[in-house]
Amino acid sequence: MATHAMEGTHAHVHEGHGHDHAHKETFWTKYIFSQDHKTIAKQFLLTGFTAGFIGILLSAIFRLQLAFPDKSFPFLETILGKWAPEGRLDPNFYMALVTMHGTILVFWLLTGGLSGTFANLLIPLQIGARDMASPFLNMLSFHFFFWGTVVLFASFFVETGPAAAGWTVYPPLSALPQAMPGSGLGMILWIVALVLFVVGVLMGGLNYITTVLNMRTQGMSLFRMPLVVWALFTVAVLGLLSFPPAVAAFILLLFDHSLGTSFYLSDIYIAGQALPQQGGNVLLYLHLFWFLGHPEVYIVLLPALGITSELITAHARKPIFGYRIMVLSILGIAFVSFIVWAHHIFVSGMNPLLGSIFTATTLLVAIPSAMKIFNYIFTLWKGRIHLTTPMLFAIGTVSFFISGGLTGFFLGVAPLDIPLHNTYFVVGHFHLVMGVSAVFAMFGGTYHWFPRLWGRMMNERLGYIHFWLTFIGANLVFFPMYYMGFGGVPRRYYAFTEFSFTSQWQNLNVFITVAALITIAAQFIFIYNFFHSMFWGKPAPRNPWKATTLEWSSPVKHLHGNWPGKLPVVHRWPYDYSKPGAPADFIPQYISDEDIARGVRWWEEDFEPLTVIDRAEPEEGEKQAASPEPKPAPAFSPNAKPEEGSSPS
Amino acid sequence: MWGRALGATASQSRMKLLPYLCGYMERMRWLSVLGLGGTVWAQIGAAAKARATELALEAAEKSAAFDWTGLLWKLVWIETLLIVFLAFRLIQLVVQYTGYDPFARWDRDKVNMRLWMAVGLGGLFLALWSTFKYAPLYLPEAASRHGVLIDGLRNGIISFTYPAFILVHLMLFYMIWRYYNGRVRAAVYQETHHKLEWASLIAISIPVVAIAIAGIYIWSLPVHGQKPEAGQKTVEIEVVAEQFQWRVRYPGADGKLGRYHYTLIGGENVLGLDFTDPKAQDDLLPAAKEIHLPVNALVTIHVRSKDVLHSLFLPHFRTHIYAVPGQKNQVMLVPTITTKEMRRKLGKPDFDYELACNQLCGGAHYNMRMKVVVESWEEYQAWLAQQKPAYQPAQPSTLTQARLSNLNL
Ligand code: HEM
Ligand SMILES: [Cu+2]
Ligand SMILES: [Cu+2]
Repeated sequence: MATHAMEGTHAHVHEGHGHDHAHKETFWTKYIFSQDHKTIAKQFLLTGFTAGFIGILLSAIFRLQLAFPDKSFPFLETILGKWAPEGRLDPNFYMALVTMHGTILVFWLLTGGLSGTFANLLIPLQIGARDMASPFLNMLSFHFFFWGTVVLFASFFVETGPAAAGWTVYPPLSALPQAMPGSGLGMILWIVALVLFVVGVLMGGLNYITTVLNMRTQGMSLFRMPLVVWALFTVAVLGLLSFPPAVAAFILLLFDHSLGTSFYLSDIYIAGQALPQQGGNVLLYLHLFWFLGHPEVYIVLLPALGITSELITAHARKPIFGYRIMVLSILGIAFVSFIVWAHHIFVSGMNPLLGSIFTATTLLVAIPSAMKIFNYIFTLWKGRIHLTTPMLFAIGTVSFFISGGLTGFFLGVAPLDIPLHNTYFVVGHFHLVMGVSAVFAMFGGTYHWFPRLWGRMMNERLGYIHFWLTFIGANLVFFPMYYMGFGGVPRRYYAFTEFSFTSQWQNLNVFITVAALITIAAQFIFIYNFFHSMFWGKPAPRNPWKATTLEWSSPVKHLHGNWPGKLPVVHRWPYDYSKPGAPADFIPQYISDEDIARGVRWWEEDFEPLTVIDRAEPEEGEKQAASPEPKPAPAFSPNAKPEEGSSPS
Repeated sequence: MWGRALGATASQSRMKLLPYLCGYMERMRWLSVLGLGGTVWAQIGAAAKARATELALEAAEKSAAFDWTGLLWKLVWIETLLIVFLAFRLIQLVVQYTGYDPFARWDRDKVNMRLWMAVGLGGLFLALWSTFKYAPLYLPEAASRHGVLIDGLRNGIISFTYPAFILVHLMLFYMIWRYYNGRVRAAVYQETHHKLEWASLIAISIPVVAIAIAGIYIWSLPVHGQKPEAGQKTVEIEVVAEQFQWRVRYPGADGKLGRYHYTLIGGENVLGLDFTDPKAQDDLLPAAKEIHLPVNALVTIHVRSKDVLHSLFLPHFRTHIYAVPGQKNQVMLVPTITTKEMRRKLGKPDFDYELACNQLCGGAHYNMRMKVVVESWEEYQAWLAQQKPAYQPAQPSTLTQARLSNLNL
């Protein structure tokens, strides 16, 4: 497959040379059915951000309900019709909003959008490949994602409303249309959307894995890959192993829902009728779902942390602290994430022995996670920290990861999960540790790689305003939720008015809603900045952040095959920042010691990396990348880090 | 700053303002029309509203009047958005024209560093302060024996995580303050530092191991490990969840709960009890929506669900277990504080223990409440004596009928 794909990209390269792109590219092939990984990255970014933004607007609606349960908002009736009679949100529709909010943000924004964008953009560009292993599969991956999005949003327009059983869609609630309106057609569409989505993720994942393993350029050994590539690669493997069981779970759910099977159903008397299904058990679904569900958390988080690694090193001008430990942590987290799933169902009535085992494994994951945090902080130590917008967001990610991660110690311990399970403590925890922290990484990555995507810079000052409003706002929204958790306030409640231990939190709920509305409003600054910069931003130089990785060596103007001439050859690890004795505070990966000795001035604004790349044993580099069985990367140049002597590939 | 901030770029700044503004207005005339139109509309609206109010007063038929206020508010919103947008563009244009940038001399790194100090340190302080401020609203002391252990574990974990939260953040803020571009002009090339890595590893591993051991030990207590002590009374009850209420069943004189089957549910027999089982015949189904528990007895709660997943959540007792259709779950607890005592302790005469559903079960999930009363053994017995048995002699004859009709065969 790889060989075939490479032939394809070869052809593109030559065309790119000859008549500068002008050949029969129509709107359709260029923007819709593009097989170019950079365009596909943009497609994922725009689709993911659009879906995510709508998802966040949904939270504005249900936050209004939580803060003002007794008030009527006539405009709600205007936009929602029968779901908000007399301006009061319908309880079933409240749940539909929460469900769609969760589904959209976890799956569409932070899985499809985050991995889709940055894996597509960064993997080929950072490992020195002309494109993905299979550009066609890559295109299909986006199209499945896109049609999944369409189906998901279409479910807003069915008579009984979208799925409403929570983003985890536990049966029997989700399997029985008589249990709630959202479990009718909306639920079927939810499953269809998710299956399309997963097919897209899997196609993407296959590509990412194949590309990373087979198509690294000469000299790019595994341990010379940037951490973000490590993270994206690991996440692709995680997805490949964990999404299929979830699809199986969803398909069985669909059978129970529509075909009368009893995988999850048993002994049910509902709506005045005893159902014939016997012998199934919901716990099967809970285990299957969370076998995906927990790795999913890291599918969201690892790319976010990978991005953070790149941002922190580039903007603090310092190598990542403990590169090997960072790689080991990524692999360790990925492995452990498969054996902790049952911490989501400690109180489901599963065998108590499992509770003890999963407490132990869950706490284990704290170790690699904490190592990563410490290493980020030590990377800043003795650095030269440029507080640019991407850097602000990267530090924000670290801060949220601390605030959210530490409370994992409460929820991961089975006995303490008893009072905290399904309370707002959980909502605070997962929003901070994976929601906002990953969103911040995604913002940071967007500010950082925007010049690589659109050839223009985003406005820095708008970026600062956006950052500070969002950072302060998100803390004010989610930190107080811990307090409500200590008060035992259950999540997924339409109103807190019915219990005395919940109704006493009303003032705080108003506060949270106000903070949320301001935070959401601040996102318009980003939207404006994004689109304005896309068309009218300051034109970007080739390497605006003076970073070392390969993506900044290809021309600003996109072309098929990424590099017009030969592929870059890699001579060093990706973090040669502030190296003693070097003439600049960064040495790109494609600069060899001979280049330095020859006096190549790569730090200058108008430096052309291609003058270096084209000299670097071109034919061999191409041949190696193209050969179906790649040779092990050659030994390192004498100047490379000494302990990287052996090539693991 | 604002012009630049709003996206103006230096290269555009040499154009003439007036011609540009005219051209801009030209291109944006639909907006101006909307804006002007909106203003006029608002005026008309205001006048009409005044007139309508007059009329309404005259006719004294307020209910039929058109909602002019609502319309006005909408207009105000649209107008505000338009004005914000136009102001935004105008500032941008002025700055482009004059090239004047009042914030040009601000040092990006210094300003952001100071903001980090203010927001970061202020935020830590705010977090600490508000944690204490809201403490009175947290759940009161655990009212069950195992709950005390859970709270102990919680306090232990807090006493590690809260300092860690603050210290690690302080480390982060220190790095920003000490090493921002401005205080330092060069970074130090440093790939790792083995002692520091080992220290971090140990620093995190110790609490992990300690918490795991404590957690696993306590986990064995509340769910399945409790045994009655010498002389301790034991009580078994059943709590059944359905959309959207709870039902409780108490054993009769025999102290045993009888058999049930979901196909027997129907008519009066809301729990599907099998009255051919003598143990079921004397079971009690209290009519009031209350659970009564004797203090200091070992209570076993059998939990089941008639329809979808629910969860039995007794926050004050630190007790929580799913109600799963088709699966018999159970929890054990020893209530240690009576309702009366808790009221006195909290100084809230209207305090009640509450049972909540804590697993999404449908539209009225938020409203599945039941009051829980903890009382002395004597009071408990007196209350039980007033409850009627579930078995009504009329039922056996309808039993088979119910079974058949329910199965829908
Ligand atoms: C300003 C932004 C946001 C606000 C105000 C917000 C608020 C909320 C609230 C109040 C809930 C309902 C909790 C409940 O009743 O159980 C919720 C649920 C959820 N949110 Fe957010 N959220 C925001 C952003 C995000 C982001 C960025 C993510 C990405 C991970 C996210 C993921 C979720 C998930 C997975 C749920 C659970 C849905 C469910 O219970 O099925 N949210 N959010
Ligand atoms: Cu998990
Ligand atoms: Cu319920």
